[in-house]
Amino acid sequence: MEISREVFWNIEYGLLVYVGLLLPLLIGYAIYRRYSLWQLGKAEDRFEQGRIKAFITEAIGILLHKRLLGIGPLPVSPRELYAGAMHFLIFWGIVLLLVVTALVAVHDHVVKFMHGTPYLVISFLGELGGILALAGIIMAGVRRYVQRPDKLDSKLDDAVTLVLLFLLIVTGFVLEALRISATVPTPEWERWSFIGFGIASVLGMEKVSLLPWHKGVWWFHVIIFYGAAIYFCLSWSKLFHIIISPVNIFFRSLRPKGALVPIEGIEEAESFGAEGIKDFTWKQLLDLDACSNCGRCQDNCPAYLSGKPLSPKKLIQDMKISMEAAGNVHEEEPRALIGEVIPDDDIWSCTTCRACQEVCPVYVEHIDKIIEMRRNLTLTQSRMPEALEAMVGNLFSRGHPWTGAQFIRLRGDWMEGLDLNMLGEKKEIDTLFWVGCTGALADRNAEVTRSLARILKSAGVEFAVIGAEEPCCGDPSRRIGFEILFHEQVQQNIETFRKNNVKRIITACPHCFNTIKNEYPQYGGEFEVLHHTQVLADLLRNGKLKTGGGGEFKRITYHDPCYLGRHNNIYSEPRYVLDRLALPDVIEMSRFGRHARCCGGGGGRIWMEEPVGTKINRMRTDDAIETGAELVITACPFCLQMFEEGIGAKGPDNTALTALDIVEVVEKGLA
Amino acid sequence: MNIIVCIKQVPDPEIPPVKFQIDPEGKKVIPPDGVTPVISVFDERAVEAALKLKDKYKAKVTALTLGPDSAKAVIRHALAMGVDAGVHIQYEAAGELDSFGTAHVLMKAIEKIGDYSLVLCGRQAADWDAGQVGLLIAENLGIPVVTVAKKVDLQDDKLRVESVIQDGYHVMEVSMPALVTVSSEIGLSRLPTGIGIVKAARVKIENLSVEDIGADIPEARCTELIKLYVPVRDIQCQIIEADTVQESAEELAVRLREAKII
Ligand code: SF4
Ligand code: SF4
Repeated sequence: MEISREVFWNIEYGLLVYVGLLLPLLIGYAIYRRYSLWQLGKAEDRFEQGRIKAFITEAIGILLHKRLLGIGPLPVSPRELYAGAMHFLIFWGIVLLLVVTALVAVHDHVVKFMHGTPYLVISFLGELGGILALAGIIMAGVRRYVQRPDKLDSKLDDAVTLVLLFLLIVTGFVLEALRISATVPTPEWERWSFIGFGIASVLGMEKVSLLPWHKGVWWFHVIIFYGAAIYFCLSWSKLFHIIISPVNIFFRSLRPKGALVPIEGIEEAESFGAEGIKDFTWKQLLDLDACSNCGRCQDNCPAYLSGKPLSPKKLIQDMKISMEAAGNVHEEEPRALIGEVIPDDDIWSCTTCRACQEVCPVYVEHIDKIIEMRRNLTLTQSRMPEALEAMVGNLFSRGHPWTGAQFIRLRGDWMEGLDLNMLGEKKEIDTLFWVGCTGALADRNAEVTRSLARILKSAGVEFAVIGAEEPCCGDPSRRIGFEILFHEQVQQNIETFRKNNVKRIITACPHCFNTIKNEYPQYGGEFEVLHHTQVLADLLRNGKLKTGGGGEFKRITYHDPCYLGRHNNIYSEPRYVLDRLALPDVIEMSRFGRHARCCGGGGGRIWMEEPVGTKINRMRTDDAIETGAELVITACPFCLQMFEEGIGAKGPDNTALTALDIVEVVEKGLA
Repeated sequence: MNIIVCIKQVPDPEIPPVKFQIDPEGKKVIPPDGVTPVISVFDERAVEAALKLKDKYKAKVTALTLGPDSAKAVIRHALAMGVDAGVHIQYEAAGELDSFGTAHVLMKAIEKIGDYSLVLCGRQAADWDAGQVGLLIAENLGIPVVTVAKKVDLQDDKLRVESVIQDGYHVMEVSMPALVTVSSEIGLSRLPTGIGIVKAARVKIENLSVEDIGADIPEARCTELIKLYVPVRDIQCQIIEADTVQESAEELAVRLREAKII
């Protein structure tokens, strides 16, 4: 007998499966219904040049499940690896099955090519696809209903989806087995369909009596398939992420990661940010449908992990309900988005650390949504936590966020005795050392500022400072949603930089760094902006700094500041710097690099109270203590303050940990 | 109802005392570099008092300041808080004027603005703490004045003002137009809102010179500053050493008696 098979073999009216060609129509209808929901949002241009190229580049990584499996320099946790592997198996299993099915259709109607080896290979691949998918589905079932991780909330749809997929694959195998059993004589090469062959051996070979069974199961299999398809389309099931995720990934933000979007026409606006669901853009609404409810974001959110009311996953899911209510999908009374659907506390709990976005497999943009709501709260409704009111008042009248700090020191005090060039004094100096409010006004951080100034001088870097007149960079205003102040600050600063011919800006604060580097260009201010870790790495690399002493610490660890790491991908420079010093190797904390836990100070949180749950900075301090290190090194003034508070709260009897900025460690380690 | 609030720009009271320098010859305060002057706290409360009235009744609030170019900032501040208009009498040497001179210029400005039912001032400015200007403006305008208010409200066509005294407050009824000086008991002043800041940027501040309003700057001050100095505090510490506690206590008593403390 020839190595091949007839497609519809035992089945009459088998061609009815091609009703399936109507499936795209059904899917199209489902998408159209959701599309009208996304259209409730405002316009936004996501059709910039380079999008297609970016998508193709990204697609390879996505097909390989790079994010989910943690392929790359920074791996994921075992639990995440399990989920990643599970998705990988289901995804590739189903892809193989679909490809095999499509090839079978081609064989039947276009060119008959499935004879001999091609047939065997294709049957083998089909078999493999089935096994992969089945393994993945079983893993998913175990995860969802046995392991039950906190990040998954199981709804009926999840169970229906798993059961339908499971039945589809199992009936597929049974069908194959029945076909093999009922074929007389059984061809030897059917062994290539190894699972079907295995089951057939149990059923017994050459049993023509099984033919009616084959027919029954065939129809059952087909009905499940169509039933599933109709269910998925009409209920807008989670499986729809198969279609929406790629769309969402295609339209993902191509802005620099750390940049927020400006409010357009802010000077003429009458209201700001998003008060209701329709104030978001269509892309922000598309995000809500793209979310597959996987919980990765929640699992990495410092606010959620420390017991705050915010969960980025819940935020997205709750906003989705609001969107559906606005589009009359359910007969539901629309509730106020801010305050009712999303409580104020959730909005204020976010540290804008980006842990959620960095792990989200479908590139949902949580921070933008939170900031839009903050903008509405602060600018339109004048509603914010009391501590922030004081901070805004201070920003407004004194130009910096540190209420009361001036009682102790003034902005220019840190320069005492350092003999530095003032900006504008020497025309030829085009490098500005931007200190930032915290580095100038907080006592502990001013030590770091002085240390950096000394190192730069000793390495022969020519730079100038603004001193007492240095204003705020605008990050605090922007992150709490008080965009109008940012809007003023940024324009003033750009003017100062231009007037003084500034080309290059060095700063020790990742927040200033991020804002000046990624957000000033929105106002036409393009400068070369360097964080001190980059400058230090360079100076060490080209021998301008000579290392020597400073080996007093036995175990050290490094904390990645969010605005340096996740927002700007600077992970290796600080580690390179530490590597060059006479120090032991860095022992990484359990959450480090892309997954580093936030210190709790970003997004304006450093100026707010933290009455609910555990304090995030104390959790991070515990992470550092767990490594057994005596020294935790960071590269951000907020992180330093947060660690010192955490260490202080532990008390000297309970921990010997010290916190230093990387600059201070370098200064100790110079020859 | 039209309300005029007089506000003053002062050196930031948050400046650490050690940073405060004076020029004893020129009898001038030299604020440190890079510290932006701010609206005087009591004046900010006066703006709040005006806005509270505006919230409750229909009112147009105008902020008025006298000072150098930089003083525009306090008008912007008041606009951002929610006042409707701003008038800046630009006079670079405003710091040289004494309370009488200042009150004269402000009186002229108020007359120029005209048509007002209420003038509000802070109870005193956070720099010199003289507490005179409000009273003198009222005197110049010939209108009644209530000082140190903790609440200002309307009752029929009169003002009902609660004025702070040592152990409580007086309630006064005043006919309008009147001048009221406001104390911090009025309550925290509201924050500039986003929309306020945006709108403030759209309002054109009326910029007038002393001549525009027909004020004659007096040749000489009515009050003269004789000496300006930072009080010197000298602390010396002596440690009394003795063999026993009794002896040291005795010695301490003797020394205190010698120093005429006990
Ligand atoms: S940015 Fe950070 S704090 Fe905010 S929701 Fe995302 S993970 Fe949570
Ligand atoms: S937002 Fe992203 S990470 Fe969070 S649950 Fe949805 S898909 Fe998962």
